[in-house]
Amino acid sequence: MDPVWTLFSRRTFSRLAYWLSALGYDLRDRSLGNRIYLVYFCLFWLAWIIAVVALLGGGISSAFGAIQVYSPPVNFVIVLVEYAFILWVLVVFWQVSRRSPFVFSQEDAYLLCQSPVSRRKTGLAWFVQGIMGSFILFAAAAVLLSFALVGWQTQGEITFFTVIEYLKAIACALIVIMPIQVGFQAGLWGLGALRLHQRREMRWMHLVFFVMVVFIVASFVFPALQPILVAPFRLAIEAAFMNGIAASKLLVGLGISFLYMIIGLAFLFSQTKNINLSRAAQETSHLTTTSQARAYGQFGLANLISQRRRLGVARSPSRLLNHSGSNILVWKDVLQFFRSFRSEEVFNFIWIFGLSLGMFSSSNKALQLLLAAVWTIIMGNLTTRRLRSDLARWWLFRSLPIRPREILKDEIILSCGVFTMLGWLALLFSHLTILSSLFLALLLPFLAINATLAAAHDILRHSKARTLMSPSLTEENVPRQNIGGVLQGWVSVLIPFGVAVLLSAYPELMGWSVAAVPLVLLITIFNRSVVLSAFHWIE
Amino acid sequence: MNPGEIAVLEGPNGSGKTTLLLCLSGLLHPTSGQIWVDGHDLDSDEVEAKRCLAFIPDVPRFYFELTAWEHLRFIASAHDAAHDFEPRAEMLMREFGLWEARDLFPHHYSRGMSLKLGLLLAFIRPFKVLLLDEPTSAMDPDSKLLLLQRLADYRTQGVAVLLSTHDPGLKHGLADRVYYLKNGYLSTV
Repeated sequence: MDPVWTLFSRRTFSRLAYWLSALGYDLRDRSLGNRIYLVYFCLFWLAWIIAVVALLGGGISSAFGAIQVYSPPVNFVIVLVEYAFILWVLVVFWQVSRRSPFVFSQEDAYLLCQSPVSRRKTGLAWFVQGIMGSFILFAAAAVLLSFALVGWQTQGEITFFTVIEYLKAIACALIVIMPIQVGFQAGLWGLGALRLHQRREMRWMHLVFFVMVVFIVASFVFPALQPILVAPFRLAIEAAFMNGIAASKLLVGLGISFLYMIIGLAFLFSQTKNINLSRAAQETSHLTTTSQARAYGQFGLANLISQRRRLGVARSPSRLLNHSGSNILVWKDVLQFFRSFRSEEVFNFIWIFGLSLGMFSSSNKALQLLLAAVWTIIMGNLTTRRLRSDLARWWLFRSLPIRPREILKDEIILSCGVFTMLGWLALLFSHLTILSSLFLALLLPFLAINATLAAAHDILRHSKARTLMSPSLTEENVPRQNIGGVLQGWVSVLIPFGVAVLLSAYPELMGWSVAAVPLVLLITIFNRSVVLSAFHWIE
Repeated sequence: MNPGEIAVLEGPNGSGKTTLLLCLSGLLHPTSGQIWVDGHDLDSDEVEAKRCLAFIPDVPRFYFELTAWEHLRFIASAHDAAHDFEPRAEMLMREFGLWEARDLFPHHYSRGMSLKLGLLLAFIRPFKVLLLDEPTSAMDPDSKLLLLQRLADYRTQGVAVLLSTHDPGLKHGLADRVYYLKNGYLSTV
């Protein structure tokens, strides 16, 4: 049997089995009961799909009423689909110009890519596997939009004739849109294959990408350019979504759409003859590692693998000033923060800011406490990242001649400081009185420290020196904040915060809310001592 | 162990050589007993004891975000040994053939290079006791020779060295004393 076909069929079966088992059906169970269950399974998911399409399609259909610029809504749908195609082409083109679209795992790299299997068969098999995600996405979008358009025309009325209209519209959209998508994706993958069998890097692809971006941006500034931009798609997409279009126009649209598919597939077929599979594997094997890690829920591991790739190979020495002694830990933390910073992390800051704002300025006391509980968990996770990273290098970290209390201070000072400042910023935006703001501003650093110490205590309590020393890749050997840490955090934060917030609500008890300050100080001292003890006694 | 003495720790796989070294380096708490380093109790006078102690595991792990050069700077500064850092670091890196790779992130190093960087992190700062866990396991012959030379130099400077190894060359060429560890018992060979 052909090895590519064997691998392709086994992998497709395994992927199908994975998704079916995620949805509740075991493909490997051949019992009669399971076959009967299959009927129920199919009916259930068919009903579910219809319900979801009806729900979302109905929502989109009612949203059409709000869009006055494009009337009738079919014009809006046509423009939307055209620009979706343009942006998608742009993104895929950018990807294939930088790395192989054919993604191979480490195992493929050693077993398949080194063997003299047919490059063409491999390329085409990998194309079929790789196209699934975007194919389903485009098909779902086409179904939803065509459903919504019919829903808008019929005002959601369900009769035998309108059901026929729905089915006709969906079929029409699918048979026109899907060949375009397949054609463009095949063409773009063909370009990726072309890049893979060239000896030199094809810089013209970057230039073409740049020109495409400039043209798209220019089309927004000069609307006269828009017809040129959308011309490749216009006739076909009109045919896909214009209900009641003349048969001749539908045929033209269909013809264009199939022409794209034939040209794209022919180009891919011609370019896959000599693709360099080893180069493709070299460029992509990390992608399968990260996607496998994510599939098994190991998001930390996946992020670390991505982080290592993002860092690149080398850097010139940092010019950040450093000091001797324990302060060097702060220097290291700042350096690590800047080098590992990702744009997504801005959301963490926004998230903490939003929570702080809510827990300080909400008028509902229960909501304030609830937000403070969420804030505690997130703070604990974010502020102990550096500690976990240091624990993962236990031999290096524990050998430093620095007192544990200084280590602890340096580990948390930066992150707690940043998040405290975000909290103070939130206080500025809140509508509290100056006195209340000042009081909460005084309390906030201790709340932040307590949330961090509680999480740190939990991590240290569960850390084992032997595991920390194990020679594996990452921080995966280091425990994360668990339920014990969350509970300790809630006790440490919610009690003083609750005292401050709840008592201040009653004028006769307002003076007692000051008790939150000694309370939070006592809790901080306690947390600090248990963390130091846990650090010292890591077994 | 005495100053200026090189001792080799031998034993079958799983006999506890690494565990013993981890305990001696303060990375693992011993179930009983005390460890004294140059007159400092490793438990109660931890900071001073650790100033005198350097340990390099067989598979050292480094920070992803710091280059090899920055690792050296980090350790030198933490040990208050940043004086003349640059010429010393350059000399060490050149000696061990890592100079050209100084700006690389260590996760791009080969195993042998990682081991050498681990050694340099010890050599960049002062110490009186050196603990090495299978230091030559991934080294090329030239680097091994270089390490032997270094260890001999440290012996003359009064540094006590304890290393675990399966390498007979190290034992015969260098050791003043050989310990054999089996079933939890340490004996002198």
